[in-house]
Amino acid sequence: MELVIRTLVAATLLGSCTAGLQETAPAPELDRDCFRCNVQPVLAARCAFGECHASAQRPLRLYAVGRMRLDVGWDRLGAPLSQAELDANYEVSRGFVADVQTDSMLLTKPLDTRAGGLYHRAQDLFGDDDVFLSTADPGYARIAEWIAGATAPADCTPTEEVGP
Amino acid sequence: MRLQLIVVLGALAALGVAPAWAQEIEERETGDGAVDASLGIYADDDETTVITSLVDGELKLPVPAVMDAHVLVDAVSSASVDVVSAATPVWTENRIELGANIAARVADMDVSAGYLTSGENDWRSHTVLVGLRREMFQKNTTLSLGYAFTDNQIGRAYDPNFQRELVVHGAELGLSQLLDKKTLVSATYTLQRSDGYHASPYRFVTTATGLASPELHPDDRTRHGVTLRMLRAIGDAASIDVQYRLYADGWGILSHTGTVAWTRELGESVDVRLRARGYYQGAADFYRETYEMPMRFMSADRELGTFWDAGGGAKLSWTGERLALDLKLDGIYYRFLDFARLEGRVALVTSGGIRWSW
Repeated sequence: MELVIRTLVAATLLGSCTAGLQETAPAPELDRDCFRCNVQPVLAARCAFGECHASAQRPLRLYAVGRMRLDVGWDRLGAPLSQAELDANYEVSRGFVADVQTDSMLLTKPLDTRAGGLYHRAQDLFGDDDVFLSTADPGYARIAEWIAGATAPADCTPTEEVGP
Repeated sequence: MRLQLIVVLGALAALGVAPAWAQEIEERETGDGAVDASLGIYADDDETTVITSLVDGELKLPVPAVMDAHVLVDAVSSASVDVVSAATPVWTENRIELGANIAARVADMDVSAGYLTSGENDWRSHTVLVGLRREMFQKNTTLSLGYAFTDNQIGRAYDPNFQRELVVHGAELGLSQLLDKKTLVSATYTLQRSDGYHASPYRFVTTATGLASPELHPDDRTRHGVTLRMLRAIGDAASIDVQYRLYADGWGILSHTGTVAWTRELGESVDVRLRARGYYQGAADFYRETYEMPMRFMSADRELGTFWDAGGGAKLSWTGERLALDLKLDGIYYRFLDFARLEGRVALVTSGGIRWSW
């Protein structure tokens, strides 16, 4: 009986099935060294607060020195980020990168709505201003460059230019 | 945030918002009319409450036509696992729906046309509906055809820069046949095509590799549904209503719904109805409880997963010369088979209505 139903349904649905439902879609391969040196410092300084993204409850959950840690004990919160933590931050961040840079939530969420960004609860926490007031913010520019394909040498030094 | 569709549709059905057909209307005098008011409450143990208020009025016009209009307000409060996991503690909002419908007899055919608009803080929709119905073979057979077009504008709470659209076309073809004096059977086929934004801007998916992403749903969806129904009188004072619905869509969901209702008159003006309903659905092809790797389409919507629900309840109606009252109580248990954050939920739906006709 189940076979009959499935056959009838298949015949009815012929031509109306949505294509590519089970296709895999690997996240974009972005430069890991550029992330470590140019993006991670911005995320740590501007996003990874306990009330914000240094929380396992958030889809964009970020590990940062002195904040949420993955494999570091509470008595060593100031220890440098481990490779596993950097990898986790890289992985979670590129999930918010879209094909079109302007649609990447890693950029549009922290950008103030008055500058064209999407609503972000940080706007409430920061007293009506969001993380990036404009696309000219150095932190915004660092992330945008990474998404656009910027690379960095393996021995790069993490930037201190993370914005205000 | 858009309500679970089942809640809305359930409330609409329970509260009796349905176009009146002209064939019934021809028997009325000009100026005849009625006003309905009802209050429905949905509450579940996933911290969601919906209070639905409805006022509906209808009036027979000087021509063979009836005009109907309604206002419906849903007041929603939720702290469901969906919103808690999105780091929003609780939300409350109102949805307001306004609708009008006219049904008339034109050239031996019943014709209806209607308009609905619905708005909430992050969703606005406009719907146009038209319908035709014709009785044949000494009124033993009825053929009906309907079409609806809905334009949905989808936003995101507090977000002036998030704007998406979902356009829906729906058609329905129905055939009912009186088999004998006591038995009516019907079959209805519905087809719906939607294009646009189907995901929720509030839901995110995290893969086993740690990659997180906004929910990604296909831009198109085609749905098919076939409903078979038999209504049979039992003796002089009772009837039984049996329905089965088969549903399938282009996302790979296949579902079965069975409903049995038994209604009995208790004296001249009191009816009692007992009803049981069961539903089973298989998951959409792209739905996973856990995504091992990123996919083109990913969802955190448990209602695209495998689930079943079962429920039942009673309705008591009293009908006087001009006044009618009804009271209804249903209980529903939902079981989600591949959604780790919520195994199931129990819901109670109750409503009370009053109708004054003249």
